[in-house]
Amino acid sequence: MTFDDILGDIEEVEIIAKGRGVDVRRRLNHRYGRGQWRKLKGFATVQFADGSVWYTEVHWYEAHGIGRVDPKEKHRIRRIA
Amino acid sequence: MNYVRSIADHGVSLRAGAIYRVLPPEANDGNLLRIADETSGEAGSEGGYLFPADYFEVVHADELDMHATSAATVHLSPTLYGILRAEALVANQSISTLLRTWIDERLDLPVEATS
Repeated sequence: MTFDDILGDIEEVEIIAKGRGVDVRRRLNHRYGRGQWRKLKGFATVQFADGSVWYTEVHWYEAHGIGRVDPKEKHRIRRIA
Repeated sequence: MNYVRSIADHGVSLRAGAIYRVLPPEANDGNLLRIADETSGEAGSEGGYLFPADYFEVVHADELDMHATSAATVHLSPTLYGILRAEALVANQSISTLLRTWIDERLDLPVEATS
């Protein structure tokens, strides 16, 4: 998935890891640039390539000055369309 | 299907050519694969993440018979190494052979389909 697939805002955003808790921070630095990476989770309405729309738990990484990267699906909670 | 190989890089979560374990599906996973990806062990990564199945190719049993060209290095205390060597002596095997046996017993490796 990409952030473009998300309809509306991400809800109930919370930080689940930061600093040394982000095990892949070296790979994030290499791929996207050096930053103070945080791992976040939230819930969003996501439209998928097959046309289905699901309320989904998503996780991603974020750093100030770089933005949000690498969104991933954790759970599909309920189908909306 | 227990192990799959990622066809391409996907962010920092999947590396092209790397093998990943497929985890048991959860409700609503549908045709997606639940994968223990590169972030396994990180907070929030328990239970894996969902990826499209076409991101991967299946790891086949016949790949296990390929000539051993990859090595893993394990650092052990002298005592633990000694115990491992003692077990190898009992088994009348080299340490490498003993470890490969234990790996085969421990991992749910792909098997050839029987007709």
